[in-house]
Amino acid sequence: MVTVLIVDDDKFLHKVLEKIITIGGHQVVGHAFDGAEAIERFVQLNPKPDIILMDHRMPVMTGTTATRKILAMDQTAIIIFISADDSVYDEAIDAGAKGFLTKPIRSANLFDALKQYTE
Amino acid sequence: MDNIRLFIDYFEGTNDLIHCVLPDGSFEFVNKSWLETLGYSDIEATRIGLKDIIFKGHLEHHLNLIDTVFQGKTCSNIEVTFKTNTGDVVYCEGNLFPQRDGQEITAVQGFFRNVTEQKIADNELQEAEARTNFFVDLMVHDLTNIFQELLSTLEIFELVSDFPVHLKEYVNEGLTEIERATHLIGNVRKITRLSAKKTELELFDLAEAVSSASAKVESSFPEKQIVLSSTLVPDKYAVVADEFLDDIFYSLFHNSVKYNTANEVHIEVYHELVKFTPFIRIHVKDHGPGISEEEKEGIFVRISHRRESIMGLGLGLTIVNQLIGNYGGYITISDTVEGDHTKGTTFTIILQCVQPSQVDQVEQTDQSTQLSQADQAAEIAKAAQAARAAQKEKAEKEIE
Repeated sequence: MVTVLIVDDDKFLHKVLEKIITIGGHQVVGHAFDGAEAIERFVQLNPKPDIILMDHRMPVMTGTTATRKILAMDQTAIIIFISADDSVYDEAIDAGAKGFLTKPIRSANLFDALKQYTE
Repeated sequence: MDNIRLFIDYFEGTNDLIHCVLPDGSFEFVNKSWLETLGYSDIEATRIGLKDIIFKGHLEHHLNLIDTVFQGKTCSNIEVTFKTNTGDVVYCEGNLFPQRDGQEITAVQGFFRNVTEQKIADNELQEAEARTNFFVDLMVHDLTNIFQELLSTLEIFELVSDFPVHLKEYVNEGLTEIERATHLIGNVRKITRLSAKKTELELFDLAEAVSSASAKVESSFPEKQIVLSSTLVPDKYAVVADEFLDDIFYSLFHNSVKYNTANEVHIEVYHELVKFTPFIRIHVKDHGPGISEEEKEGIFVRISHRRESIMGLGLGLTIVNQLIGNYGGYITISDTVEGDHTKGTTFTIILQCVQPSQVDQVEQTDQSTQLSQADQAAEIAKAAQAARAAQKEKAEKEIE
């Protein structure tokens, strides 16, 4: 079972992703709706989530900025981008993201990623 | 005397703004067009100076240029923003020359063309393009998020064990439709970015692009067996392109597989060099349902000129055509079996290419005139840019 922190500014997406992740036998341990809140949640969570699913374009702070800040605090954090815009791929990888899933994401690809990056 | 008269007639008759600035910034001479454009009378012009007619933000830069000219230099193709008597802005482009009396520079002559209308039109166009890009980007981003929610919702139905089996077919159809819509809006974004982007062309390995595209298509159709035969070998032909080269072949292969109902889909890629030119011709042949003559006519036409997509191809081939045009090449379509469109389609692409062996030969035969692969690439890239510019101009004329 993989524990997941979901970071996305779309509330309904949290709901459906959590359901799918749960069906897949994993657990969502936290939700954040912008980059700044993601940092806050990450700091609060103990134990840390196995994986952070991070959107890029969000209010307050973008996903790449949040990624840099989280990795500056904890280099072992595993962050996978989930973005509608694949043009930010390089930016996300430069920021330290381990993977990049382009929305819309099929559940099979999501489960594969959760498995691949936590093995 | 006749020559002086001729000059005076020219200065007074031209639409260009001409003035002659003295070291103290006052005007020794201004022409009729200058007075009319900036809204001053002859007498007023004798009472004002350069500082009164140059737009404040540009004044310091312009005074520096004037100083340079007083030191004996010429300033060509400068931009200057004038301010009229009523405060309106006039954009000009022009040149500054020193006016000499013997060895002494007594004044600076300025010749300016009024480009205000063109500048305003350019600015409006840029703003419109920026607005379009912004809205397309926003729309694609938000729609993709909505599609993600719909897709995930349908997948929840699909994944839960107690969902009625007889309804799963509808869920699957829905998922396919969402993916189709996502692909379409992704292409809209891509085509918008391509239009706005000034790409730097480089050399890309042709065989690698074909191979990479084939692998992507195979992963998109796990239920089908795709048999690709290609005459291209790695590291043999490098073509002038950009990062989207794979997309061209992906789009063509994807269509071949998608519209072929057979479980095993055969695609042939073969090539030939166009003799005495730096071009390679690549054929992508399939044996699918084909494309009728009527459909072929509009298949590469810009989306703005096409009322509806053909066979659901969406923007894919429009992008392919635009990409190849950007590379200085072109694409044509024909029947795999001549005269019978139902036996499949063959796309023929012409691209500019470099063979490493050609570069080696040049290096061996003439050391003094040798071209490195990079130089040759740069030359070809330059030619491609020129071809692209010509094509763009042609397209713009067609639209007009």
